[in-house]
Amino acid sequence: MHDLNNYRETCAQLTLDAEKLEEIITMTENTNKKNRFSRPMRTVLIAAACVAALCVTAMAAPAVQNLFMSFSITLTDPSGNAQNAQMFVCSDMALEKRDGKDILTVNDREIDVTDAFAKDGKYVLEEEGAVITVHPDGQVEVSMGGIVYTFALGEEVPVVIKGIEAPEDAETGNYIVTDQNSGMEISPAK
Amino acid sequence: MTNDTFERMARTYGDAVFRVAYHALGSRMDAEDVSQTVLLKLYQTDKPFASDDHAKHWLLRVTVNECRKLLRTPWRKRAFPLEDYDGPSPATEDHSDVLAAVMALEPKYRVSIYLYYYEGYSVREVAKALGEKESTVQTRLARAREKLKKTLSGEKEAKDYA
Repeated sequence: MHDLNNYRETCAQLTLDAEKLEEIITMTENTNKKNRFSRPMRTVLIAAACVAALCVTAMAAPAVQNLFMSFSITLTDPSGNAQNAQMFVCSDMALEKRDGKDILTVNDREIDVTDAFAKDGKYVLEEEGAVITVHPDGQVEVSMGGIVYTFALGEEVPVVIKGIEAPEDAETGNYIVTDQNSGMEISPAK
Repeated sequence: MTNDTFERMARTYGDAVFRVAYHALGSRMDAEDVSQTVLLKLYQTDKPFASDDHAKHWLLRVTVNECRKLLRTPWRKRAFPLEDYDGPSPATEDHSDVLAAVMALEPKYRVSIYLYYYEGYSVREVAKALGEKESTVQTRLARAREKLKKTLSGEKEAKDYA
């Protein structure tokens, strides 16, 4: 390649900011090893189908896992009527075609599901205590804690809210879900 | 992994993780975010590493996956049309001619070039890190070299003329 030494010398100058590195190391020193960073930096921007004028006021302790986030929320309308709902977020699954094969990515693992699709028309796996069924069109069913969540892999970060009926004038709201160690917070996206 | 081991590995391989992410994403800020995610995954993993080389390969593989994950997100897709992106890199930092030319390549070429020419990985190792076939990596390297040759020759001619 042209001027390889020049490329190497310039690349050598591309370094992770020293302050950033110290920050990361300090973060790990000041915490327990497991689950403290169950979703490091994971600010999940979701397009959640929420009822207009309702606000999220409370939620139960979430089941924070690597692949899924499932937690209870209470939606309260301006009149004070509350509805309990179960929200489910899955942002670490993807299905893609690569060299003619169907590749499913789950928890950083790539699984060739081509044969399963051809033979069974679906691929089933168990992950984090949930039974996941993936269909060739990207439809996914996750059976978890007695509730089945259905969503499609693709353009949106999958978010499913169970237990509420959205009225006809329901609007789509953007929310930021933040994992904060033992709790979860929802705030409107800016 | 003990805190001491983690710190040693973070200091040793943090820059390599950052460089791979930078080549994949073309943005220093995104590369730093991915580096943080990858190093925290290293801290959390229970995976036993047979050697430092093994750990480095694991780190680079996780980095590639994290970059792909970021490139797949809907908001990122709207900003950069993934690996089919055919325009110049958004990077605006002051690079040498060669690095600037590499960063102007499509993302799918950039990481292959970095792993092969800077890290000194073989085609087989690059293919493993990227989860691609060796033939795919060979083709990418050949095309990238061809594009770089054209770009850099053109720049040299322009400079000579000026």
